[in-house]
Amino acid sequence: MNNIAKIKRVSGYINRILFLLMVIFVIYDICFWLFIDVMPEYLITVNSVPVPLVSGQLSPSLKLVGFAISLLPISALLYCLFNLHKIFSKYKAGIIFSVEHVVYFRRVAKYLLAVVFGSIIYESAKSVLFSLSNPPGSRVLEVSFNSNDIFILLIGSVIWVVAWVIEEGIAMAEENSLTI
Amino acid sequence: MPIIIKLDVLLAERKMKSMDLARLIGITEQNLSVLKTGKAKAVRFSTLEAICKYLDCQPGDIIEYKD
Repeated sequence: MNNIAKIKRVSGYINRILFLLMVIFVIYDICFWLFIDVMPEYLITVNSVPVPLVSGQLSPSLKLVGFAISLLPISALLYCLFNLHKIFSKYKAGIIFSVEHVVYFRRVAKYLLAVVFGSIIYESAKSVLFSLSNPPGSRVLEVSFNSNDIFILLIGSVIWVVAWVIEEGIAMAEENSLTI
Repeated sequence: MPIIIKLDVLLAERKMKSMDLARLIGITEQNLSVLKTGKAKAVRFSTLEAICKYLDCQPGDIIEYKD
Protein backbone atom coordinates (compact mmCIF):
# COMPACT_ATOMS: atom_id res chain seq x y z
CA MET A 1 0.00 0.00 0.00
CA ASN A 2 1.51 3.35 -0.97
CA ASN A 3 1.70 6.38 1.33
CA ILE A 4 -1.23 8.25 -0.22
CA ALA A 5 -3.50 5.25 0.22
CA LYS A 6 -2.33 4.92 3.85
CA ILE A 7 -2.93 8.64 4.49
CA LYS A 8 -6.43 8.38 3.00
CA ARG A 9 -7.34 5.31 5.07
CA VAL A 10 -5.93 6.50 8.42
CA SER A 11 -7.32 10.02 7.88
CA GLY A 12 -10.78 8.49 7.57
CA TYR A 13 -10.40 6.87 11.03
CA ILE A 14 -8.94 10.03 12.59
CA ASN A 15 -11.77 12.08 11.11
CA ARG A 16 -14.35 9.86 12.80
CA ILE A 17 -12.48 10.10 16.13
CA LEU A 18 -12.32 13.91 15.84
CA PHE A 19 -16.04 14.12 15.14
CA LEU A 20 -16.72 11.84 18.13
CA LEU A 21 -14.50 14.01 20.35
CA MET A 22 -16.39 17.15 19.32
CA VAL A 23 -19.68 15.51 20.29
CA ILE A 24 -18.22 14.13 23.57
CA PHE A 25 -16.77 17.50 24.63
CA VAL A 26 -20.11 19.26 24.10
CA ILE A 27 -22.05 16.55 25.96
CA TYR A 28 -19.45 16.49 28.77
CA ASP A 29 -19.62 20.27 29.28
CA ILE A 30 -23.42 20.37 29.30
CA CYS A 31 -23.63 17.37 31.68
CA PHE A 32 -20.94 18.82 33.96
CA TRP A 33 -22.93 21.99 34.62
CA LEU A 34 -26.32 20.27 34.53
CA PHE A 35 -25.48 17.59 37.10
CA ILE A 36 -22.85 19.43 39.12
CA ASP A 37 -24.96 19.23 42.32
CA VAL A 38 -25.26 15.46 42.20
CA MET A 39 -21.72 14.66 41.05
CA PRO A 40 -19.13 13.34 43.51
CA GLU A 41 -16.76 16.04 44.73
CA TYR A 42 -13.69 14.45 43.21
CA LEU A 43 -15.17 15.13 39.77
CA ILE A 44 -15.76 18.83 40.35
CA THR A 45 -12.62 19.90 42.17
CA VAL A 46 -10.63 22.86 41.03
CA ASN A 47 -6.87 22.34 40.61
CA SER A 48 -6.16 22.55 44.31
CA VAL A 49 -8.74 23.43 46.91
CA PRO A 50 -7.54 25.44 49.86
CA VAL A 51 -10.97 25.43 51.48
CA PRO A 52 -13.60 22.68 51.44
CA LEU A 53 -16.07 22.86 48.63
CA VAL A 54 -19.65 23.45 49.53
CA SER A 55 -21.29 20.91 47.26
CA GLY A 56 -24.86 20.83 46.12
CA GLN A 57 -25.42 24.53 46.63
CA LEU A 58 -24.90 26.04 43.24
CA SER A 59 -27.90 28.07 42.17
CA PRO A 60 -29.19 27.75 38.60
CA SER A 61 -27.90 31.25 37.81
CA LEU A 62 -24.38 30.31 39.02
CA LYS A 63 -24.54 27.12 36.98
CA LEU A 64 -25.51 29.17 33.94
CA VAL A 65 -22.61 31.57 34.56
CA GLY A 66 -20.25 28.59 34.95
CA PHE A 67 -21.53 27.04 31.73
CA ALA A 68 -21.21 30.36 29.89
CA ILE A 69 -17.58 30.76 31.02
CA SER A 70 -16.84 27.12 30.17
CA LEU A 71 -17.76 27.99 26.58
CA LEU A 72 -14.53 30.01 26.33
CA PRO A 73 -12.10 27.06 26.31
CA ILE A 74 -14.64 24.56 24.98
CA SER A 75 -15.55 26.62 21.91
CA ALA A 76 -11.86 27.25 21.18
CA LEU A 77 -11.19 23.52 21.53
CA LEU A 78 -14.17 22.65 19.32
CA TYR A 79 -12.95 25.09 16.68
CA CYS A 80 -9.51 23.40 16.81
CA LEU A 81 -11.10 19.99 16.36
CA PHE A 82 -13.34 21.33 13.59
CA ASN A 83 -10.29 22.61 11.69
CA LEU A 84 -8.42 19.35 12.28
CA HIS A 85 -11.51 17.58 10.93
CA LYS A 86 -11.28 19.76 7.79
CA ILE A 87 -7.54 18.99 7.43
CA PHE A 88 -8.16 15.25 7.65
CA SER A 89 -11.12 15.48 5.27
CA LYS A 90 -8.71 16.86 2.68
CA TYR A 91 -6.18 14.12 3.46
CA LYS A 92 -8.96 11.56 3.11
CA ALA A 93 -9.75 13.00 -0.33
CA GLY A 94 -6.06 12.59 -1.25
CA ILE A 95 -5.28 16.33 -1.14
CA ILE A 96 -2.01 16.52 0.82
CA PHE A 97 -0.73 20.01 0.05
CA SER A 98 -3.07 22.94 -0.40
CA VAL A 99 -3.28 26.56 0.71
CA GLU A 100 -6.29 25.61 2.83
CA HIS A 101 -4.09 23.26 4.87
CA VAL A 102 -1.90 26.19 5.90
CA VAL A 103 -4.96 28.24 6.90
CA TYR A 104 -6.42 25.33 8.92
CA PHE A 105 -3.11 24.55 10.65
CA ARG A 106 -2.67 28.21 11.61
CA ARG A 107 -6.20 28.28 13.00
CA VAL A 108 -5.52 25.13 15.04
CA ALA A 109 -2.33 26.68 16.45
CA LYS A 110 -4.01 30.01 17.27
CA TYR A 111 -7.03 28.43 18.90
CA LEU A 112 -4.89 26.01 20.93
CA LEU A 113 -3.33 29.12 22.47
CA ALA A 114 -6.86 30.43 23.01
CA VAL A 115 -7.75 27.13 24.75
CA VAL A 116 -4.95 27.75 27.27
CA PHE A 117 -6.01 31.32 28.04
CA GLY A 118 -9.68 30.31 28.10
CA SER A 119 -8.83 27.49 30.54
CA ILE A 120 -7.05 29.89 32.87
CA ILE A 121 -10.13 32.13 32.92
CA TYR A 122 -12.47 29.14 33.29
CA GLU A 123 -10.53 27.49 36.15
CA SER A 124 -10.30 30.84 37.94
CA ALA A 125 -14.03 31.40 37.51
CA LYS A 126 -14.74 27.87 38.75
CA SER A 127 -12.78 28.47 41.94
CA VAL A 128 -14.88 31.58 42.59
CA LEU A 129 -18.20 29.90 41.74
CA PHE A 130 -17.46 26.80 43.83
CA SER A 131 -16.45 28.83 46.88
CA LEU A 132 -19.09 31.54 46.55
CA SER A 133 -21.36 29.90 49.12
CA ASN A 134 -18.52 29.74 51.65
CA PRO A 135 -18.58 32.29 54.46
CA PRO A 136 -16.89 35.66 53.74
CA GLY A 137 -13.13 35.33 54.04
CA SER A 138 -13.19 31.72 52.79
CA ARG A 139 -14.02 32.50 49.21
CA VAL A 140 -11.29 31.72 46.73
CA LEU A 141 -9.99 33.15 43.48
CA GLU A 142 -7.40 30.76 42.16
CA VAL A 143 -5.47 31.63 39.01
CA SER A 144 -3.37 28.73 37.81
CA PHE A 145 -1.06 27.95 34.94
CA ASN A 146 0.02 24.32 35.02
CA SER A 147 2.17 21.88 33.07
CA ASN A 148 -0.80 20.86 30.90
CA ASP A 149 -1.14 24.47 29.75
CA ILE A 150 2.58 24.62 28.95
CA PHE A 151 2.25 21.38 27.00
CA ILE A 152 -0.71 22.73 24.98
CA LEU A 153 1.23 25.97 24.32
CA LEU A 154 4.16 23.89 23.09
CA ILE A 155 1.92 21.80 20.81
CA GLY A 156 0.34 25.02 19.47
CA SER A 157 3.78 26.46 18.71
CA VAL A 158 4.86 23.26 16.97
CA ILE A 159 1.71 23.30 14.82
CA TRP A 160 2.37 26.95 13.97
CA VAL A 161 5.85 26.02 12.68
CA VAL A 162 4.37 23.02 10.83
CA ALA A 163 2.04 25.48 9.04
CA TRP A 164 5.10 27.40 7.79
CA VAL A 165 6.73 24.13 6.70
CA ILE A 166 3.58 23.15 4.80
CA GLU A 167 3.53 26.56 3.12
CA GLU A 168 7.07 25.88 1.89
CA GLY A 169 5.99 22.37 0.90
CA ILE A 170 3.17 23.79 -1.22
CA ALA A 171 5.62 26.04 -3.08
CA MET A 172 7.87 23.03 -3.70
CA ALA A 173 4.93 20.83 -4.76
CA GLU A 174 3.82 23.54 -7.19
CA GLU A 175 7.32 23.79 -8.62
CA ASN A 176 7.47 20.03 -8.89
CA SER A 177 4.16 19.91 -10.74
CA LEU A 178 5.55 22.43 -13.24
CA THR A 179 8.75 20.45 -13.75
CA ILE A 180 8.30 18.46 -16.92
CA MET B 1 10.47 34.90 -19.35
CA PRO B 2 13.31 35.28 -21.89
CA ILE B 3 13.53 31.49 -22.34
CA ILE B 4 11.44 30.41 -25.33
CA ILE B 5 10.35 26.84 -26.02
CA LYS B 6 10.22 26.15 -29.73
CA LEU B 7 8.57 22.76 -29.50
CA ASP B 8 5.59 23.86 -31.62
CA VAL B 9 7.87 24.78 -34.51
CA LEU B 10 9.77 21.49 -34.27
CA LEU B 11 6.55 19.46 -34.15
CA ALA B 12 5.22 21.31 -37.20
CA GLU B 13 8.48 20.71 -39.07
CA ARG B 14 8.41 16.98 -38.20
CA LYS B 15 4.63 16.85 -38.90
CA MET B 16 4.14 15.17 -35.57
CA LYS B 17 1.18 15.56 -33.22
CA SER B 18 1.65 16.61 -29.58
CA MET B 19 -0.27 13.53 -28.52
CA ASP B 20 2.18 11.22 -30.31
CA LEU B 21 5.27 12.96 -28.88
CA ALA B 22 3.79 12.86 -25.38
CA ARG B 23 3.22 9.12 -25.74
CA LEU B 24 6.72 8.52 -27.11
CA ILE B 25 8.52 10.44 -24.36
CA GLY B 26 6.30 9.10 -21.61
CA ILE B 27 4.61 12.27 -20.30
CA THR B 28 0.99 13.35 -20.35
CA GLU B 29 -0.42 15.60 -23.04
CA GLN B 30 -1.23 18.17 -20.36
CA ASN B 31 2.40 18.26 -19.25
CA LEU B 32 3.58 18.61 -22.83
CA SER B 33 1.13 21.48 -23.22
CA VAL B 34 2.59 23.13 -20.08
CA LEU B 35 6.04 22.80 -21.66
CA LYS B 36 4.91 24.12 -25.07
CA THR B 37 3.15 27.14 -23.63
CA GLY B 38 6.20 28.16 -21.57
CA LYS B 39 4.42 27.64 -18.23
CA ALA B 40 6.92 25.02 -17.06
CA LYS B 41 9.34 26.06 -14.32
CA ALA B 42 11.93 23.39 -15.13
CA VAL B 43 12.65 20.64 -17.65
CA ARG B 44 14.14 17.31 -16.57
CA PHE B 45 17.22 16.12 -18.44
CA SER B 46 15.42 12.82 -19.08
CA THR B 47 12.52 14.69 -20.77
CA LEU B 48 14.92 16.81 -22.81
CA GLU B 49 16.86 13.71 -23.81
CA ALA B 50 13.69 11.93 -24.91
CA ILE B 51 12.47 14.92 -26.95
CA CYS B 52 15.86 15.24 -28.66
CA LYS B 53 15.86 11.52 -29.39
CA TYR B 54 12.39 11.37 -30.95
CA LEU B 55 12.56 14.72 -32.76
CA ASP B 56 16.17 14.11 -33.80
CA CYS B 57 17.39 17.50 -32.66
CA GLN B 58 19.66 19.28 -30.17
CA PRO B 59 18.56 20.92 -26.90
CA GLY B 60 19.36 24.29 -28.47
CA ASP B 61 16.76 23.61 -31.16
CA ILE B 62 14.07 23.34 -28.46
CA ILE B 63 15.15 26.07 -26.04
CA GLU B 64 16.19 29.57 -27.00
CA TYR B 65 17.24 32.54 -24.92
CA LYS B 66 15.94 35.93 -26.05
CA ASP B 67 16.75 39.09 -24.12
